[in-house]
Amino acid sequence: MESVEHLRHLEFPHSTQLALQYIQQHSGDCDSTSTEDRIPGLGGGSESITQELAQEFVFFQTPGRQKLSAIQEFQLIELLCNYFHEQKDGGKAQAIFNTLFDSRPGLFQAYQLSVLSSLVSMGVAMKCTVLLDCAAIWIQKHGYSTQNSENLIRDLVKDYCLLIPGTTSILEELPQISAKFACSFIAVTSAIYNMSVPDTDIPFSLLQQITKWVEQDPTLCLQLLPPVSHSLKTSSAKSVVLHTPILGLLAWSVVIPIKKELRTLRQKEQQNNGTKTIDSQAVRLVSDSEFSAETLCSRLHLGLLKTILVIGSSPQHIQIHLHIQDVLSLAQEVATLSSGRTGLKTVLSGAERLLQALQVAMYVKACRCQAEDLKNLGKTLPTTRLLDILLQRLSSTSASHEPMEH
Amino acid sequence: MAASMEEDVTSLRPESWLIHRAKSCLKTDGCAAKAWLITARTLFPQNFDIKFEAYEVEKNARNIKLAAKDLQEMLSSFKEEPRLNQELQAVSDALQAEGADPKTALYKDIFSALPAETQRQMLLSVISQKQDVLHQCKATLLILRRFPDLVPDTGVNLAESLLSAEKHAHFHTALNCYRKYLVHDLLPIMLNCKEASLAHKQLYKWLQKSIEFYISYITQPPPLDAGLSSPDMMSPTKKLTMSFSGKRLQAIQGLAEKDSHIPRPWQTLFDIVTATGQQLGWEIGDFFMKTSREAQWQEILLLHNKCQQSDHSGLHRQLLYCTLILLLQCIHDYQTRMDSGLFTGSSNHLESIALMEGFKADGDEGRVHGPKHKKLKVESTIPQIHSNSNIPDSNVLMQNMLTAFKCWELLHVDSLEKDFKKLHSHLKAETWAWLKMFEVDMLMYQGSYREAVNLLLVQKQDSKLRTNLQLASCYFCQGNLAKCCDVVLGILGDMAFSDVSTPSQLQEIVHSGRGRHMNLLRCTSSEIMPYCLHMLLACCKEKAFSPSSNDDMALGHMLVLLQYDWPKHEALLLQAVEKIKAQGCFTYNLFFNYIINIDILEEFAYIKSHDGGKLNLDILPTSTKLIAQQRTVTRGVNKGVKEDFRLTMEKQVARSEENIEALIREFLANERELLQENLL
Repeated sequence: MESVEHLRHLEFPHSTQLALQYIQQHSGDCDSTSTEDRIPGLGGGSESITQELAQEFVFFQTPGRQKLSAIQEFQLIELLCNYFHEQKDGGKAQAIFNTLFDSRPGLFQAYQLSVLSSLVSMGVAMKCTVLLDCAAIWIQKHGYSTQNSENLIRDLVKDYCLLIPGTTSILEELPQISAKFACSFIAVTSAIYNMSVPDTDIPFSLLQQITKWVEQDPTLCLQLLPPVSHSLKTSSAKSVVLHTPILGLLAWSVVIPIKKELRTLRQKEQQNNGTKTIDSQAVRLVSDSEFSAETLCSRLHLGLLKTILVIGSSPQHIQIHLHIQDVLSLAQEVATLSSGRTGLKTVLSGAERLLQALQVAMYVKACRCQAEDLKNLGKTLPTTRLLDILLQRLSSTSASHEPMEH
Repeated sequence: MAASMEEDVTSLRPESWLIHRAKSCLKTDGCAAKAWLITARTLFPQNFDIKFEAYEVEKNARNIKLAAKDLQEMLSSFKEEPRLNQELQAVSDALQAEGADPKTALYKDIFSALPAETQRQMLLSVISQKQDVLHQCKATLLILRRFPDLVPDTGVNLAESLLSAEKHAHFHTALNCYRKYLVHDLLPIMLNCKEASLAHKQLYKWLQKSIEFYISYITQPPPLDAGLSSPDMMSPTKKLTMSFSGKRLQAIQGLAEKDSHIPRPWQTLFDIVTATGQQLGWEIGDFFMKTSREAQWQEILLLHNKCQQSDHSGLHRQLLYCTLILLLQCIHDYQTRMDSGLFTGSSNHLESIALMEGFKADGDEGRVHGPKHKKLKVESTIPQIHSNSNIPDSNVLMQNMLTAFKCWELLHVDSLEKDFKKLHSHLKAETWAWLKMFEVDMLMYQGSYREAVNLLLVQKQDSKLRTNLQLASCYFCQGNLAKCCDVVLGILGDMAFSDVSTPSQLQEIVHSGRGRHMNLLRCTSSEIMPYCLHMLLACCKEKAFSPSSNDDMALGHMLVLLQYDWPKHEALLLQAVEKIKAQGCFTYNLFFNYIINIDILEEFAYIKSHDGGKLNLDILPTSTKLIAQQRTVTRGVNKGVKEDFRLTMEKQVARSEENIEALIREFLANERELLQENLL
């Protein structure tokens, strides 16, 4: 460990630069076996050494060592961003990224994650494809609806959608810089802004940005890699059930307009109760903004239908992207949300959107749905002619299939 | 009302209901409409209406790529749908349209966004829908321009359809819509398709059709009823004549004015001949690009030599066609300059020019040359042609004329004549009046007056001055003096009186030197008058000095005529006086009516006198014989007569300043019958 001793005599950032060189040299060694397959704490050889190096000379989190100042921390992030930007080999970059940011839970992890969050934010601003691709894999490994992933994306949303209005233009090109990361971003966002949680409102600019992405590239939502931990266990001859952003986004397109309409109704009722004369101007203003949200949801919905159609264009890889149980739960949410006000315009159109997506998904065989499921849907959702048509079709096709099964 | 509509909607079939849903939200929410259509498509993939509606939505939203994609899909699965075919038709029409209105542009863009194979399939499908040949033709042209590989099949079929349609339409002219599409639009595409190997037989047929069309177009005579027809008709059965910005334009039957115009017909024809030649393996090179007629003629000669060394039929035909085209172009150029009123579209309005036999100067081997002088004819097979200063660019005119003569002669040599005659009949060249006129010139040039007269008599009904002049010239050369005189008197009788009486032109129509001479004569009275009078004078002279006759009347007429352009023919006066002296007497009672020339009067006063030989001249207006009969009872008759003569002579001298042209005209008008009778 002569070199380690040597590093101790150096100051930041030289020590960090040398440490990264060392990590780069040794982190490839463990490529053959992925880190998850090891028993935590028993990782031997170069892996533990590189992680220790990272802890001491990159993050400066070894007990007894002086921690980095705020400015130095910013320098570190810049250094790392440039470091990844210059990486030519994606696999090698991934290995280094894993060495730096895969760690066991503990005090040190919180700091690591905050550095990661800042680094990714900078990576987005610097359009650093390698770094963002690595981050996408990191999110995949950590899961799309885990606290770590959600925090990472929440920070990004805060940086680019909430802090300064209009900064979404930086996000605009994200799918071109790293489609994998953009897809992960959507997946995690759809988990964060889960419509079943009351009072979670999606920032308008975020909805706008994601809608644009989806309608520009119908394959974007399909970039998502299967969650590592699940794919190994569940993969079989049967189709793999995937967790994709499709369901989450479908929920947005159905639920957002309903929520908006309900809110408008409430406002109107309050106004009616408060003052006898209705300020028609105020209502108009509200409904104008509602209209644009409604338009966005309509666009998003169309983008989703096109995305589902794309699944069908590669029949050899058809997987279940839309689980009927999820659709049923979504229908239940709608019912709960509208609390019986089935005559609402948005409730009706929401039900139709849901059924349209279901039909297109069934058509491309990305959803398995029985007549019974549809009937259940009919119990929850308001009656529409589309549901009748779907039922009629499904029963006629299943009827035609039955004799063959005998 | 709303309720009944709602009811109507619920009674719709699922497919129609889905389309209805899509349409109903199209205005407010295009995305929702598209979502409905996607859903509908997955429910009823075989339903055309849904597919078409999706296409319409994309088209109206100007999503070119998506609309093209939808169109392509429909084309592969719904070929028979009438609405699709209508749409394909609209696209095809837009491709042919020249305007740039948004709808046309949209269709053009959609078409461009289709893959080449689909474009081809689409256009072929449009063609198969067309019943009318012309519509089929337009669509086929579109496809051939884009897909030349279809030339040998689709192109050839279309050519045959056009020819058959032309045949069944019973046009009287090659200038019709079907022919124009064939030789102006279709053939250039087909011929320029190097890969297509077209049958030689067909190539020759098309070549003939092209020549017939373009030559008819170029040489179209001016309409007789210009201004009467309305220009906005499209029916192929109606004849179209038009005037456009004052200039007369060529008309093509069955086509509107703008479609009838061919900017550079000769060039287009040359291109077709050249391209056909390439398909036939000819080596035309830049033959038609050469600006010098001589260079072109040399090339023809070279080809002719090659032909004589080889009996290759391709070479032979190349010679035939190249010579023919050169001939026609030379004649066209020549005739345009000879008579600007001959063809539609020519703009200058000068009097026409006639090619006439020239006169020999007196004393040069007799009087005029003609077939009567057999020795002379052999000697002068190639006459010399003289132009005059009143003819602009006469060297160009002469070069075209002479090249045309040479080509014509070449086409009549043994090896070519048979094929030329056949081609001549295929081209229906016997209907080309301008070619007949050229043939007259050619025959006169060759000295074949009898054949020339036959041709001229056919044309005589046009009563063109040029024709009549040539007819007179031919009769004169044949020695048919009566007919010559008849025609000349007709010409002079119709002619307007020219104030400027300058018989100086006469010098140019009389030539000395050996061999025949011909003259180009502009048909103005100042040029024609001297020529005609010269001819008439020559007739009278011929008659007067004929050894067989002793005709004082002819001699007297001659005396009247030679006053014109005096003293050019002074020698003739002396000749006449000699004759009178030899006869001892002379009777011409019109003498004092028309002879005012002082020299002639003096000469006659002299010969009447004692010194002059005291000849017996009965030239007083009333015959001396008659007076003698009246005065038989009285003595001293002769004394009174003498006195009358002296007085009349004195009176006549006072008239010598009168306008001679007016006098001659009066003479011709009053004594026409007498003249004709005399020259019989």
